[in-house]
Amino acid sequence: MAEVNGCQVPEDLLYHVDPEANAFTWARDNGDGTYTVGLTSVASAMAGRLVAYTPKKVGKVVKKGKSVATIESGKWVGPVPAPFEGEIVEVNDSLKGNPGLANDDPYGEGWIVKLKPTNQDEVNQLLKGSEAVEALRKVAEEKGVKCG
Amino acid sequence: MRLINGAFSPVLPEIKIDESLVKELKKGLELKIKNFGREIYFHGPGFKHYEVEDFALKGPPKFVDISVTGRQCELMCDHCASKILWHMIPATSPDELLRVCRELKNKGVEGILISGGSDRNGYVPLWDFFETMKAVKEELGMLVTCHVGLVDEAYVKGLSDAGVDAVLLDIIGDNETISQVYKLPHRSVEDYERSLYLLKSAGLKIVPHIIIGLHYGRIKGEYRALEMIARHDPDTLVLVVVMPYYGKAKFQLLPPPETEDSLKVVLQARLEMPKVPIMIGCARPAGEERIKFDMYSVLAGVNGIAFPAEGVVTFAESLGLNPVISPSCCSTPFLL
Repeated sequence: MAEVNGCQVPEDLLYHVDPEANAFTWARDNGDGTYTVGLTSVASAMAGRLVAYTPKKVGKVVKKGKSVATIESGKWVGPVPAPFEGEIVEVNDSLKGNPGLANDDPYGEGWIVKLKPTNQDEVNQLLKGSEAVEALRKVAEEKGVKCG
Repeated sequence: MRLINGAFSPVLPEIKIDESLVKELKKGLELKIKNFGREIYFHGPGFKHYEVEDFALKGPPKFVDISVTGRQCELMCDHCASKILWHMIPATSPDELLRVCRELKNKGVEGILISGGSDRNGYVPLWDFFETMKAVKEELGMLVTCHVGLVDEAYVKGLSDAGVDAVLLDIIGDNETISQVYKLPHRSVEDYERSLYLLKSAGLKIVPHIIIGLHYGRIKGEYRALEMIARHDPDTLVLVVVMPYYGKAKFQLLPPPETEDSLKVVLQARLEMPKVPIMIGCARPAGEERIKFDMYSVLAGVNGIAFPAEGVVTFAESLGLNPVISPSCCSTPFLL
């Protein structure tokens, strides 16, 4: 597990890091043709304690960079951009009742949606390992984001 | 009722429409269109990042909030516990206020709300800052509004001499709420009404706020507060809804009022003050409830909404309204 300004970054996940689009998400291959998508700890620290999570509807096909959910904290309201084009196959009902899970357990119980990719090439373009860690480190340092 | 792609909300198609409520609320929209036309304002002041599919304000902020007490508040009311101050820029001395305002002006900020925590008598301690406010207006040409608590004659004179553009104040229409939630057992609704009277008599523009559900999530003094406000010719009325997650622990466990009940207050405001601009302010519960509240509020005939929920601008357009996007505070529509 790598660490960026106190924020954990698991090296076995795929990452979408695009500061222009405020995209700092991870994706995990579920092995059944779907991927779980969530906020990185850098993103959840940047947003602050979440108070609401409003996902798009299951079945909706979302293009890369378009919103799969809206998240809200006291200082941040914005979309969670899709890391690749895909169909939303599941949303996280636990997060509706307890949005702070995305802060407390961003790589586990606090996941955002599960997506079925429609274009595998876009999945293949996601960052991995040290490349992802360095991209997130740059973002965290530029924006002064710290965890803990 | 026009539906977008067959749904009340394009964002949450599963939202059920309360047809009888919609019929009631539309009286408000008709009144609003008759008295104000079809423009509806959507505000995005710069104190937080806000981006939804049909509303986003990018670029540096134009209007920000300043607290003259930092995060300190002597009242620590149950519904807020000073958290509203946390996002504000601290400027706890007159010199610091002037320095902060100069920096903000250089960054392109055009207007400020000066606020702060209350003292134990319900006053926001602005006394030492009046001269600086005047300087900020005259030297920097900035729009200056103040969020005050209760006021007396001397306080009003200070605001008046400073030449502030508008005065915002929360109006509470129930003595138990003033005592229990606001921790002011020695104050009463008469003190709040007197504050309205003093400010208006001095020729200041007044922007009263009502916090719907302030009494631990219940509707209690809201209708009386509307009556009090209506008697004093407000320049704008701002309605917000209590946000339980902001408050003290015991408040966090309580639900806010049912959206439909809150909307009845909004509609009553429109019916009681047909020619007063009515805005939905920044504070209200987040998520799905906010989507519903905002859409119903458009139907109830509000003039504007701060930080509209996703889909609300689109919804307003579908009703034949003309959205106007503003980076300013929702308490300043009369200055647009």
